[in-house]
Amino acid sequence: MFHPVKTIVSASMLAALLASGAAICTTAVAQETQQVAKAGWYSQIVNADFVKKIAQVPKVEGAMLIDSRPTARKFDLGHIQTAVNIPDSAFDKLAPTLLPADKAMLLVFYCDGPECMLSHNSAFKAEKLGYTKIRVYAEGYPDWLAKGHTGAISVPYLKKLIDEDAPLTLVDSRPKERKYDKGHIPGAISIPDLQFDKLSDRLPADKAAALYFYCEGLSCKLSSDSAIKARKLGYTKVMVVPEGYPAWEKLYGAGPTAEGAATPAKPTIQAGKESGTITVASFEKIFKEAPDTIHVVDVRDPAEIATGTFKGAIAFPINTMEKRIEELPSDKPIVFVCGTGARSGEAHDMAKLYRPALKTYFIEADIKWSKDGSYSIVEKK
Amino acid sequence: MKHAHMLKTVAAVVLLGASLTAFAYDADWKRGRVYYRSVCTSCHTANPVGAINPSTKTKADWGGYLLNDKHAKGKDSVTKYLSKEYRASIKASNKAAEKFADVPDKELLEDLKAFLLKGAKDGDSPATCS
Repeated sequence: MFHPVKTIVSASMLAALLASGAAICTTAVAQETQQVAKAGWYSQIVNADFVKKIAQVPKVEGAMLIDSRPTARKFDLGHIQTAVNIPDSAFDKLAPTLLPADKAMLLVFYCDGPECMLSHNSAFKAEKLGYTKIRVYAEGYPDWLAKGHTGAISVPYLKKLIDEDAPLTLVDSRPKERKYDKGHIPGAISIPDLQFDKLSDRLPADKAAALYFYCEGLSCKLSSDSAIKARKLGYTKVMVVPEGYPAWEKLYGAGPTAEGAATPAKPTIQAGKESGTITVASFEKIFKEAPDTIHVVDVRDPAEIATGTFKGAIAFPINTMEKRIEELPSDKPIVFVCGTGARSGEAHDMAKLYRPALKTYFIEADIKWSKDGSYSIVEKK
Repeated sequence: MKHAHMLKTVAAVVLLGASLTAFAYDADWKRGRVYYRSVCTSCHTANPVGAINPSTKTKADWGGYLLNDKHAKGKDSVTKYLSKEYRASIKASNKAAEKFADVPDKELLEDLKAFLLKGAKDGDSPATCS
């Protein structure tokens, strides 16, 4: 049932495939790796090196990369840049409008790894439609990330994240005066790729913070280059928004200009490792620079709070939480605090249970206060 | 004496483990924590007993307590206070009981166990009520 297939990886092979009218040869490969094909797989398999040459910005002509996974559950969360999303389940409906008219164009399908059959199924369907140069990247998106490539998200999904106040840092990699100052995506900070090394201190201190880079669309590689640099600095959640500002402007109108951006962007909440937490670095930055953007709610007992708490904190002992839950303000995110992260975590869980619409976080840290409002805070490992 | 205590501990943990294994459910200690605070502690605080910190007992103590299923020195059972019937009886004035009204008794018991073992004196993160 299982048989080995050859994986085409050579650049010359790709060039041959891209050349109009070139014959497809699946055996004469310059370099090959053995993969175990599974029942039902499409016969023409390629690997990440092959796909890398197609997933380029500026966009490569003569080839189309197709993500066969479901849109909301998979593609939106991350995909290979330049890929077009045609979920296998919607292939018959979408293919006529999204696939190229030229049946000799190279089509490369992928989905979620060797166990995923969606890309193979779509490849067979494309073949039936008359396409002649079809390949499947069987190892798919998980392999793409494992090979060290950056994932991408769409502009509508970025808008959704922004609307939901998701914790993220959006970076405009274009030249500041010539591009960013003339219009950028709301909330984005300017770190031109050429000045990345000099301005990288504008990125959050937390290396687990989500970073999204964009520039001038599929003809621009500044965001991809900056994303690579950010990962080299140790950031672990780095994505690109390949369609960038042109797509944003087309969909949602022009963004703020330099004048609008004259006021430095307020620091945003960076989620910690444990669900519901805010990182200590992020909390301290907000507490110092923009304390009016959050409510700090101290859930310790009144006697403990009396010995010291954060300036402006609302006293809300955990034991009163259930009865007073409706009193919690809903106009800004709430950060629950206590001495160890135990009761504040409990408060967060209760708030999520009783008033799920509230945006709440807690600090997983050991905190000690003095009466004068000074404090020491040590994040838990 | 020390040997007897060790045997008791091992027995309780083994029995507790067996009960957890027999019922394949991935306990949610956070849900157990909310129930403990909102139902157990709120009632204990209102009554003369006072709040009982999870960290006042060891994992073996809590294991034994739940296995023995004796509440108020045997006047009634612990499981009574985790039952759907009990939750239904207090849900008008207790948000947790209302929210967890349909949670199967067994699941809630496992949630509570998970929290008490975590918050026990020798647990991963000893918990107090205040």
